[in-house]
Amino acid sequence: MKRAFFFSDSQRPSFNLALEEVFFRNLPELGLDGLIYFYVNQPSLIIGRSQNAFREIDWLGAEQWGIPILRRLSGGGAVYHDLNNLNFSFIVKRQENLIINFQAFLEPVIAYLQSLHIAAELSGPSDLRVDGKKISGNAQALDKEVILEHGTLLFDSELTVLGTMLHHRQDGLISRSVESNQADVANLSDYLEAPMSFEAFAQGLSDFLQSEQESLPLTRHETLLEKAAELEKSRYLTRAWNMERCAKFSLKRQWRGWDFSLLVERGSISEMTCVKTGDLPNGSLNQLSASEAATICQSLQSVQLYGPDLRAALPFLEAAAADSLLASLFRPRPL
Amino acid sequence: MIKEICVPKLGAKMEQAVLVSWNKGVGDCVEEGEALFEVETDKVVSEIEAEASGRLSKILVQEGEEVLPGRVVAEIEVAD
Repeated sequence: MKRAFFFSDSQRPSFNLALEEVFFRNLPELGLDGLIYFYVNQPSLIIGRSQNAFREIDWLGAEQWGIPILRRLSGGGAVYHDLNNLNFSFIVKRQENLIINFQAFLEPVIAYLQSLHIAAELSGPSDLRVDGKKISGNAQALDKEVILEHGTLLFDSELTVLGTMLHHRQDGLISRSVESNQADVANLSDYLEAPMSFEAFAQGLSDFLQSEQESLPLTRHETLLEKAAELEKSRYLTRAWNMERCAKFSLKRQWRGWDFSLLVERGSISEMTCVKTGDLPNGSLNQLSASEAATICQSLQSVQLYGPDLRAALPFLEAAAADSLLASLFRPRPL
Repeated sequence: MIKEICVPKLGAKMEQAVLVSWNKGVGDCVEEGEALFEVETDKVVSEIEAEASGRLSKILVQEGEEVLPGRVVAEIEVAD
């Protein structure tokens, strides 16, 4: 059984996902039966293949905070990565008994955590939980020859950022897409008997997995890194792949006495209409006039949501008013 | 001759799936073994290959629709 191990030295989520896809698509050509791939990303939000980023993530908040959103190849829900989360990836020759079988892949990870006296369990069927709290989310992608199983390991991540970005409600938004399961999360470092650095934790898992079954360092990988750099540019750095590749969705939100209805297709507003909800209390000064509401609808027609065009389409509103409108239309509510 | 393309059952546990995307469009030539469409079930995305070569003559299920294993999703006109 020829197996290799590779730990990416990049922290760019776009590159690390691209390299993962290159490994996935090239495993047979590499003459390997399997590959273990570790990577650590700068703060980023990773959605599943079939998700709608505009639904799953507080994308306006993520944009403002400079946290990129990327779409991965595998299924499932949205996760948050940062420098204290370890991503592990098992890429193996396809075997039918491994499909949707997370137990088989995660047994050694559970065993490693147990060696640290952390009682992790498979739950749900692809999460790892400690004390009922999720510390690892997993997913798979497969083609005719290869299965990719990968997951996160929250070691000491910023859970408040995770919560703000991912744990919320989207009232009035209808989207035909795979939805995230908003779970209670925790960091593994909270369960350690003695303090351990993230680096030591990652090295420990790497050593554990490689001792279980012999692995060699990946050699002659320059071509793979070049392919990854190309794929990074053509896929994982593009708005088309990350944000716009989802079914159309509709949104109904209120602002200053008006109901706005939007249809969003491929990341742009394809239709926007408004109806007066009723007068705001005490003839509030914030009540929009019919012509103001109509101007908003007309100005946002055909505008791309993600990126600078959205704000640029509202020059006739004062900054605070524009912020308020966009937040009302596009930000989720806390749970 | 028309070959019906169905959603396979991926492993014993698979129940329902979502047809995620089509790699080809109606009228396109398809080679046996080429990735034709993708489905997602239980956090797993799977590429499904064409079982015959020919011309993709019909697409019966759109992206984003739910499907069960065995559902006919497309037809390929196979050269006789």
